[in-house]
Amino acid sequence: MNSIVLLIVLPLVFAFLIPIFKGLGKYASKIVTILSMLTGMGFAVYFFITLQVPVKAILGGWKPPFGIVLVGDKLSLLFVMIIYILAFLNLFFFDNNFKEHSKFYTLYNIAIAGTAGMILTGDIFNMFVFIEITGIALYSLIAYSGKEQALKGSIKYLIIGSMTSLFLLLGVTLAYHILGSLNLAHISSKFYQIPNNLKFLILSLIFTSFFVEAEIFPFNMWVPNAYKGANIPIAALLAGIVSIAAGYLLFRFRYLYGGMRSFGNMLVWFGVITVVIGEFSAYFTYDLRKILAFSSIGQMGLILIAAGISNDLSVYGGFFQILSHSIAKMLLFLLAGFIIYEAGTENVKKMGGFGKNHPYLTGIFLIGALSLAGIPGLMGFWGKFNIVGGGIAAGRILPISIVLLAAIAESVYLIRVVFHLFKTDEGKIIEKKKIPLGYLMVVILLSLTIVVIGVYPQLLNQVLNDATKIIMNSGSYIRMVLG
Amino acid sequence: MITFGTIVILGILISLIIWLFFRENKVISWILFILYTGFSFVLLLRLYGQWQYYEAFKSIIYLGNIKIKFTLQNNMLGWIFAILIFGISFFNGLFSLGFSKSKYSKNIVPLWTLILSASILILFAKDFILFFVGWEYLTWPVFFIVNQGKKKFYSDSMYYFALNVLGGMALMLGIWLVFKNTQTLDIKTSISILLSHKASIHTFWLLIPFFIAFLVKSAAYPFHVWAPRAHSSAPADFSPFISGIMIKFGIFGILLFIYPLLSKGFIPGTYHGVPTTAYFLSWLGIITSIVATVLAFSENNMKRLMAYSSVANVGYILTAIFLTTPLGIEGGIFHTINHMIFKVIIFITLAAVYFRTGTADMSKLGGIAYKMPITFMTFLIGIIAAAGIFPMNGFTSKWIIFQAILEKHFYLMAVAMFFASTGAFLYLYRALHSIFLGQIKPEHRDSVKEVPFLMQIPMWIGMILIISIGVFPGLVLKPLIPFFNSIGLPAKYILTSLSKLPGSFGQLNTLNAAIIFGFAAVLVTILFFVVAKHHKKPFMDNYTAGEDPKDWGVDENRYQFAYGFYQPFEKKFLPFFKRSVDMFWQYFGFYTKHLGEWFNNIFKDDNNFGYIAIIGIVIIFIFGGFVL
Amino acid sequence: MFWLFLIGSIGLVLIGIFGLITRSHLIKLLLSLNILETGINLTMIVLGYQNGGKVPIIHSLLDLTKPINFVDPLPQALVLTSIVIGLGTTALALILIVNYYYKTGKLSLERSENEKENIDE
Repeated sequence: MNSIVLLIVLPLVFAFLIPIFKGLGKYASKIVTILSMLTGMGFAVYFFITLQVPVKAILGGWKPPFGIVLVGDKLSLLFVMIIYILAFLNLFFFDNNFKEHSKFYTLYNIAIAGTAGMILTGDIFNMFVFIEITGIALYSLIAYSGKEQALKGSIKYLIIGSMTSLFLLLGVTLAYHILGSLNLAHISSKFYQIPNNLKFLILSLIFTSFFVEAEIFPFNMWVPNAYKGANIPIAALLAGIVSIAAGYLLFRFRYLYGGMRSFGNMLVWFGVITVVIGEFSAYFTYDLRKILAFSSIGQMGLILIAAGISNDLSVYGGFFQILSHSIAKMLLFLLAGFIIYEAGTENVKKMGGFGKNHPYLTGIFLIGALSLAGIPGLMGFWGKFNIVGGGIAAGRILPISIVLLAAIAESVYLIRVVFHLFKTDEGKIIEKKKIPLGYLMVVILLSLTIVVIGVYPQLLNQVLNDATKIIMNSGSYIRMVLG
Repeated sequence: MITFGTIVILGILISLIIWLFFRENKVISWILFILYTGFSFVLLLRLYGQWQYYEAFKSIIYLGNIKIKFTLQNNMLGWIFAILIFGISFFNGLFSLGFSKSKYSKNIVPLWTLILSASILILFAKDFILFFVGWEYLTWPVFFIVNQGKKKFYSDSMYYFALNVLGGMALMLGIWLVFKNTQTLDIKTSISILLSHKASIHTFWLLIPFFIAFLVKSAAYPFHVWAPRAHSSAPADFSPFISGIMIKFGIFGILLFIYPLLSKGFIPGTYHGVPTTAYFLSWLGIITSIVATVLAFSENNMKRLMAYSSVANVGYILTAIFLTTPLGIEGGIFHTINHMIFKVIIFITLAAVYFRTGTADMSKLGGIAYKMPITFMTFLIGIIAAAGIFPMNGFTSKWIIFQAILEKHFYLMAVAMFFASTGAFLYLYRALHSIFLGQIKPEHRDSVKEVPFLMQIPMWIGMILIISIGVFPGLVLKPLIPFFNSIGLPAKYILTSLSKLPGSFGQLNTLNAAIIFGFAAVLVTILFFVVAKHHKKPFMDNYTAGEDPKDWGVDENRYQFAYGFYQPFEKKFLPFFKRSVDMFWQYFGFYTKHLGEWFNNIFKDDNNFGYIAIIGIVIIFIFGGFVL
Repeated sequence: MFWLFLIGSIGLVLIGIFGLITRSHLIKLLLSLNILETGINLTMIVLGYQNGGKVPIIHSLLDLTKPINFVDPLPQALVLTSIVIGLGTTALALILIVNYYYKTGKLSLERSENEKENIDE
């Protein structure tokens, strides 16, 4: 079944249709994008539901390990499906600084195509290409708002991103030079043959690029600028959708680094540093967007820790964490758009009274914040809980303890935001503004998802267990792709 | 009838319904609250004796490849706590219904019902996950209750929240450490497995996270700093709940998990027959009570004062429990229950005072005993119980605790505890005097009157309970006999009748003592009315004992000694006791913030992104062993 | 020859990294990035290079019967892609830098004096 190609091609086709249709009206390009996301979503859901055995799409007629191959198994199709759903919901954003323009939607479609490609591809050179496609779309999208911060973030992201993707390319070429293949399955089937330090070199060259996408500490200098300056939908895109793809790649490459204690150590400690720096920076700042940005950094650090530990429990928790983080963070960014618009400021301390005007919206914000903080009964809990469990089961008690200490700061700053929204004794009274209906529906839908899955995680149990098995068991993947 | 599930789900539903529809209507909210707690109380009451009863969730949850079937298992200890929690909340709800007329009242019902639901999970959880779920839901709603959306209460509530989140995180760590060593998340099973191969485990480290979690929740030293802050900021009608119930969950956790391990010698080493760790923790209890007692001397805010009193009582309870003797645990549990009752009653009377006067500063109160006689009586009985004087219930449990200590011949501990206990007289009397006795403030002369009957109901019930448990301790101890049997209490310590208080030095018949006491009281009353010549005087008549009030710097409006009442004590003890611990936590927050600033500055410098990334790559290579 | 090639290309990589670390002028940063890119592209070519290797084109069926020392063609194809992507990235970066210059009048990311220092305490 070659049709999973559609998941990458469709948004690309729509992306380049947009310039043709843009003359039809102000909202023509938005409607085209909605259509694009809806069709993509439809296909993704269809493929995911009807999937019995993993499928691969062989492009160009060259059988793996030679040609380009797209792999659709339970894991990758799940993630692509969620990317499409979130990308669709993200279009109902609210941002008063946003100027409608067809360019934005073209780039948006390209970015989605890129992330879907990153996930679906079974070939590491194509992964590089898709990372670059996503990257270029994102650099432009971040700069789209035209603010100084956004431009700064965009330039930083561009330079770090290009630099690390060059390293990625070097790693890919090294792997090819030594093992004679570019196919992930083929490489992982032969990876045990090469000496450990060479393995480490190849992997670290590849992972620097993932680190940039995943906002891991030394490579995330662009994050606060980008989240602060970019339009709300882009911040949500970065936090909610790109992070899924980056997290996916971190776990998928367990085929290569699984069982390498030294590399796992490296990942865990980078994760710990990222968590600590992200959470404490967020604890310090009072700028709503920066808080969310730093919180993203912290959450991605946790995902990296899960990838580094990479036993059953932590991989399972890591997937939960990826999903819960992207949903909750997208929810919070969407809400932040309206909150900032109504309060007229990005300073959390001056937002008092919003809770009085919109108690339900603030309640939804509370749900998102508590989910990020890992309060039970919400989606975020299962991720954090399992990652901690996996870490301790693997004997990494010190890193996990540090993460838990940082998590105190996280809970504090998240609940602090909610407090400032709810607080009533603020002198200034914020003028109440009307909430767009579509936006409200999306926000409610996302929060309901968080609550329902949090209370009833069995909904995802089966799917994520399958996904964990796929990651933990490289043999079946190799057989599936090469066989 | 599915009891636990009904209570939990009903609580969540009521919470949602009230928050969505009746946020502005306090009366309906409180009526729903009363109905909910009363209904739950009745449901729970039917479960007495059915200790095999359990409720299991239908579906199985997978964590990785661990399968968990959530189960709520009825148990004696949880049941007695649950009954008290819902009973107290019911009467507290009655009080709050009346209190809701005041402008100081907030609609905290949605959050409160959430906490009650969570408490069921904690008390009856069979596995650690449900326990943890309940534990977290005990934490965050209280943050919003304490600060009530007001900036001035923010820092107080944050003390509460940050410390309790620390406890929660520690609990999470502890749960997984236990899992690592036992491969199970079931509480009872894990205890027996831990005990069966304790030699191979670093036992002390395993328990530290649990100590932190439970000691934070029970506001023991050095985590006690949140208690006075949370009590004073919380709405007046919620403070009873914090003191009476919230901090008891720490005790419950200790009884549930730490006590069974320690008493069976999980950590090696004993001192006079007591496990060494437990012995030190007993001393921690003593330190807690002494520190809290001394700090209570200097408090001017009545709610903070009583909060310190709660901390001191938690100290007694911890001491008793960590003696790990049957008598000790009997005293500990009994005192937990007694403290729940009398401290709730005390805080309810304080709320009544607050309801009428609108202030919690004792220096702004005084002389309202005649205006609020029922409240005064209740408060009086409450503090007599708190001071541990016969015939109130506080006496009976303190009696057992003292005997438990003396039974082990820990005389220094007994003396220290006696010091703390005596200190309680000092500050409790001071509270009584500053709030109710002395001269009434001119502004209170006309405005203050007794609270309405609805709000008096809990007080009456409380008075009856305090005295009747004091006279008939068997009312509480008899239903607990199955539990005491299960922990191996020797037969001589088990109650034989309602009023025979067991002990290592023989039994004390509280009924006989009460009869003598009552006889004496009647006699004194008769003498008072028959013999003494007394006549009423206005307040300003002779209170300065012949001196000119001007010389003292007091006048009609300033007859109040609440400020610096025990100044010599304060000067001696305060710098050490208060500043040291409070400063520690303050600096903790301060340096955390500065750490955050330091990290933030890395991001703020716009030119360093290139070399920081390169440094990152170099560090990766260092991990790989290429560079160094 | 091989080693000279390798050392030269790695030298280019190091020059690029040096530039990225030390410069703050945006155009210079971009130039460093391009030097780095060239270095990495050359390294990749080196990795596929065989000393005395031949062009990987089969002229006659005879070639298949004996082992021939081909130069690996795939890295060159990869480098081609990489060059194209690098061109795109550079163009985009230039546009961003120009925009940034129009917006702020600066060519480095340094914080200006009058930039409103926000919210953080």
